Amino acid sequence: MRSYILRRFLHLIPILLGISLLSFFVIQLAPGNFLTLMKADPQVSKQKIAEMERKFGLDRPWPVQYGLWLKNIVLHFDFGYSFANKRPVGALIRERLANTLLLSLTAMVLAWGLALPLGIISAVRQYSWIDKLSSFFAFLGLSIPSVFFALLMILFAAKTGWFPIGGMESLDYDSLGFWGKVGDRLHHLALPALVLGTGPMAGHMRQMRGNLLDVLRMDYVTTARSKGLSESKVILRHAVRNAINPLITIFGYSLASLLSGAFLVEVVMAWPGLGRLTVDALFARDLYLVMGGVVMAATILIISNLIADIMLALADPRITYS
Amino acid sequence: MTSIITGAVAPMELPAELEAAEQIARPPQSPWGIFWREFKKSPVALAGGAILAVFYLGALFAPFLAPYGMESQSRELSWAPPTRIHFIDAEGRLHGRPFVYGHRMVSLAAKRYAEDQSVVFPIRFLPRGEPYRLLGVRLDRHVFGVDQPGRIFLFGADLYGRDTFSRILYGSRISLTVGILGIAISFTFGLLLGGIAGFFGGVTDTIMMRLTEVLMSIPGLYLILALRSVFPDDMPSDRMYMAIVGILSLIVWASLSRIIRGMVLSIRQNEFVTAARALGMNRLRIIVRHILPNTLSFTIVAATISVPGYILGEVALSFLGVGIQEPQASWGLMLSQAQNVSVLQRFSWVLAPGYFIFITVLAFNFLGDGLRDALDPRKVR
Amino acid sequence: MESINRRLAWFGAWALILSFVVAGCGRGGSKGSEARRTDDFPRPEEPGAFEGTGRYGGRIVYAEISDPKTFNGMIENEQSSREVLTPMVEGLTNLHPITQEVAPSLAKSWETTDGRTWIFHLRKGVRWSDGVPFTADDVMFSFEVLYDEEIHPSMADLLTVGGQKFDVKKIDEHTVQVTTPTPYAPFESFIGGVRLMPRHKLEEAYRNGTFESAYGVNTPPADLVYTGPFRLKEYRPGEKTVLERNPYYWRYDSEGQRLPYLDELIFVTVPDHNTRILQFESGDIDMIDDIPADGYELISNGAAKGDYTIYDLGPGLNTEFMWFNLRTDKNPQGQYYVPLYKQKWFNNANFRRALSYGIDGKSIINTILYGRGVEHWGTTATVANKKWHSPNVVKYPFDLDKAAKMLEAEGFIDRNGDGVREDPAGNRLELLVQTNSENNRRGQIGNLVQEDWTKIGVKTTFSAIAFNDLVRRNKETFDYECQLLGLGGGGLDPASGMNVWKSAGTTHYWWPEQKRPATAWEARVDSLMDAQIQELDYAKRKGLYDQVQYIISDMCPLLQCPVRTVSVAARNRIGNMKPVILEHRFFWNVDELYIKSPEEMAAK
Repeated sequence: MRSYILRRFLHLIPILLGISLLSFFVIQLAPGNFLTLMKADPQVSKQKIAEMERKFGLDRPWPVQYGLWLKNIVLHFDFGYSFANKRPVGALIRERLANTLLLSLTAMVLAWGLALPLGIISAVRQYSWIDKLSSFFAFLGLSIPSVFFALLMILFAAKTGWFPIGGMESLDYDSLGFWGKVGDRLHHLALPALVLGTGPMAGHMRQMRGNLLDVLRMDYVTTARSKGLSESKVILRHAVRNAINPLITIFGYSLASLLSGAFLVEVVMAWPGLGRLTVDALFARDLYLVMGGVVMAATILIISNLIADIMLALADPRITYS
Repeated sequence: MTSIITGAVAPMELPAELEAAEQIARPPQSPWGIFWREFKKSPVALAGGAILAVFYLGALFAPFLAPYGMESQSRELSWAPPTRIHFIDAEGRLHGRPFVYGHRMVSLAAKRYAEDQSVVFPIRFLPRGEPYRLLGVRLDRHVFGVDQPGRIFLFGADLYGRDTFSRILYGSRISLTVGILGIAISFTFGLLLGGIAGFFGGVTDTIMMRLTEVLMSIPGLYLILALRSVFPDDMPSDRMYMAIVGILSLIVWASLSRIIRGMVLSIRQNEFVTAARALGMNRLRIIVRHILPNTLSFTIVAATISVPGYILGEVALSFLGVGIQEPQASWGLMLSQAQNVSVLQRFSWVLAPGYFIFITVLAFNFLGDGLRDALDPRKVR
Repeated sequence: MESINRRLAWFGAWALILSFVVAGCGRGGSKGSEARRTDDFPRPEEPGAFEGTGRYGGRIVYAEISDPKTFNGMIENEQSSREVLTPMVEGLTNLHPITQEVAPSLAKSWETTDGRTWIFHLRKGVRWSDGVPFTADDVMFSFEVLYDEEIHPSMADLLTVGGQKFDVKKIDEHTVQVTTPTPYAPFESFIGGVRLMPRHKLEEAYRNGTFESAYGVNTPPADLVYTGPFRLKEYRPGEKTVLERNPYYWRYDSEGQRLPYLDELIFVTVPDHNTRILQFESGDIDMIDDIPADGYELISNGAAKGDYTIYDLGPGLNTEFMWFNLRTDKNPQGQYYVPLYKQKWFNNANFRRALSYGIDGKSIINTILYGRGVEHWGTTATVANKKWHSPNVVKYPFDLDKAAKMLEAEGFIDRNGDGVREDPAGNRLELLVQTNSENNRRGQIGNLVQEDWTKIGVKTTFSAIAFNDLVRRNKETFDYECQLLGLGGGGLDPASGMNVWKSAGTTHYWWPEQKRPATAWEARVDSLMDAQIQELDYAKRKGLYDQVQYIISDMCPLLQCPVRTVSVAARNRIGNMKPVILEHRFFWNVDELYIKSPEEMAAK
């Protein structure tokens, strides 16, 4: 097991190298040379330009630039400079990454928190009105495009005024007490998390329901019942535990896909996260910020996949890794 | 050829108890028959299929169905609301055919309009309107319309006074076909490459696995945007459309080929494959004619479920302003006008394309679900 | 039951963890000291006077589009930095936005005998925000930095004549003399644009060659020293910039109270335009600048409920226009920047005039601007520029028939009936117009124009691309045909347009940095601009500039689009609020603003 985990970690490195190389290459293909742009920008001081040329070899061929960029990250943890924001990339990404993670985690809690109980109830009370209703809403939730849903929620918020639109916190956030702060954050998180989490919630709910239905048909459930165990014990202790297994795999992947989905929600609902930052950087041809953003997003995705694989290995004794 | 043995007997209607007995005694039916019977059992799947059929037909005949052209502007009717259709006029008279009133601007700053009840425009059927080409033929009749200077905006008008309903129809041509074209491309590549990798194994397999892993590790939308930025910003629309399809396909084929590879790996062990190889059959032929068809049921379902992904990908790109450009119409581009909160609040019909996208995705999901149930060999029948 | 308890515990644990994550993602408490309103601070010998009065206390919250990029008043070149710096930095004089005349600031008076030598008498007893006295040495230092070749702030270009700097001499501790090589008409307007920097804080950095990175956004507030009514209290990137009262400020009101009245001025960073509007409506921010045309109705309807007032300031100073690439020369690789046959079209004045008739100004105003705009032709001197605007220009009201006839007369005829005209040589009239994608309104204008021009047989493709890309094309590579952009800010004086109207200018959009004027009319404009910059008599100077406006409108190198009407809104509880069309709309008198007392609010 340990060797498996170790091997997977080592596996990360070539993947990340591949991703960063691909991204670097793709950005270089894009028309528009940001070096000349930077020189033309009167606000960027000549000292800054000289410094960038020294550190990142801005006028050298792109493989050299890539090597220097890599060296700066590995040795100095320096992700470069964002020309559009006039700040080091690392600081920018750190701030925004926390926001994106917050949104994704909240959406995840929302999704799983509702999906599991609803899925179980639907399976246990198959064909009841609860089942039919939640199936119906699940389909809606699975199918609604996030852009559209986000716009609907913005309209809802604008018309009712119950929720803020955009932003992460109120202006006087600092003066609130601890619980005030929590409340304020949740208030701002509510709609974006709802939009982001609805799709996954619908999907997981149906998965749970499907899995549990399959399990409930199995022989050992009949055995447990015939042994005289109470129904709820049968369900919760035996059936659910087995039904949940496949979902554990998805757990890790769901964080990854939430990160990807968060991107659009951030842009439409003005949540200051990594996705928004990267989109703006891409439009502004802000090379190092884009690279940093893409590599960071990919890293998180891979790590959450890794966690998912590990959890699966732990949970399912049938899987062996030679 | 498939691995399911074909039968010949058509099913007969029998009482329920007998039917079960009959099932065991009867030889298996044709796969198509089984599939269709199972599929018909799901009303939602049928509904999904029907809706999609309507939408795609609508896209095909868009210029005929739309009362106005894609680009026709009525600038003095900027943000006009959906036109109300009346049968009874202001004096209480019942008209033989439905009609609409003229428009009258109440406030320029608020873009508010009222009905001008002094002018009545009956709705005409098959009137002459703006000329267009359909399937190579020049025509100018539309399904419905009103005489000039009246306007019939079923779903209201946009900023330039363009009819939203017409643009939704024209936009469907892009938004709906991106998916079809896209899965054609990505599935072809995904099947072929996945099949080759799974069959040959070894170095080919490893390279493909690594490559797809890299592609799959970049969050989808980032990769799409990055690839989009490679293309110059002012590409002509038709090339932009192909570029978008190409980019989206690139994302999808990676994950598909991995799954196919897995399936091929297991099918490869089967006896008939060994037999074919022993007979000296060309390996590529083996892949294409024997192995891949066994992935058919999965592929069909996967294809259906993937189409919404393409549609949503195009919506996202156009919404962000890097997909289809004005004055073309695509549902995503039309939705982007809703990003302005003032517009969204006052002119909520700007969300109309969103509903269409929603229904389309819903229909594809229903259809895919129904297909999956019908094709599932493990299901108890 | 135990399994339910376990579930509850599990859920509770999650909730607890989440709440810690949520709150913990916030930052620490605020830094900075409380501004104290005592008047133990030394009073200057020659204080400035404000004829009104106000009440101490309170704060104003204002939203800006992005973070400030620097706090260095000499090198800043971007709107958000400028907004934050306005309440902090000062010059020798400033432009009074209501009278549009030059008023004293750190110089209490000035005079000239020959129009070339100017003596400035500095205000005695003024101190920097750290208490150090302000003297002529600071002025000398500031001019030294201004004229430094390496740093080359853009302001320096406005204070050089024919490449020659002005001669700045210190007469005594409170007197400075500036001499221009030739009579320089805009001298008084421009001299106030030199931000005065503290020598005791920045000289070392300047001598070390690190001046440009000095006073950056990471400067500790205590080190950021200026003379203005406010000083930096705190800066949080991506969030806000907080300014506090400068206790050393040199202005007093009619009751002997030292200005400013406000305790704090808070700039929050709200990049999203929608969010800004919503935050204004919800009361989070106190004013909104340049209400967008499509939001005007909503905002004005909420005035009573939100307790704010809308100020309609009339047509603004920003212009928007299209222009064609008029270059007829070749690039370094030996190819024409513009294909030869297209050069013939673009350089044909009647072609440009015809297409100008094809711009539907009224629809732009009604459809895109919701009625909030006026038509404009000529230079950048819009009707808001009271001193310099000339109504005597050639106008091009929308007339597609006229446009079509003009094109026909020039030989652009649709000979093969495909809906697109051909030039006399048979080339199809096809055009690519570009603008920047970030600006919605320009995209909308582009769509309108494209539709109309295509109607009269000029097949127009319109595309919105990234701003950087656009600028690259019109400044470096010159591979464009027609662009739609705007010009804003920059100042009222015609001299601020030297770079645009002179053929050798860097922003002579249609063909920058010409070695020799390419056309007779450009040569004429050059000589008019050269003459007006030396003409000290206002009436004569205006006459010269009026001619420039006429020529530009007649020859149509710029196809003008309507000018937007500007409206702003501010909360009623802010006293002495007098928004103006010039920058800075709200904060030109920020030291005079105060929060009204409840009694005063009730009394209205």
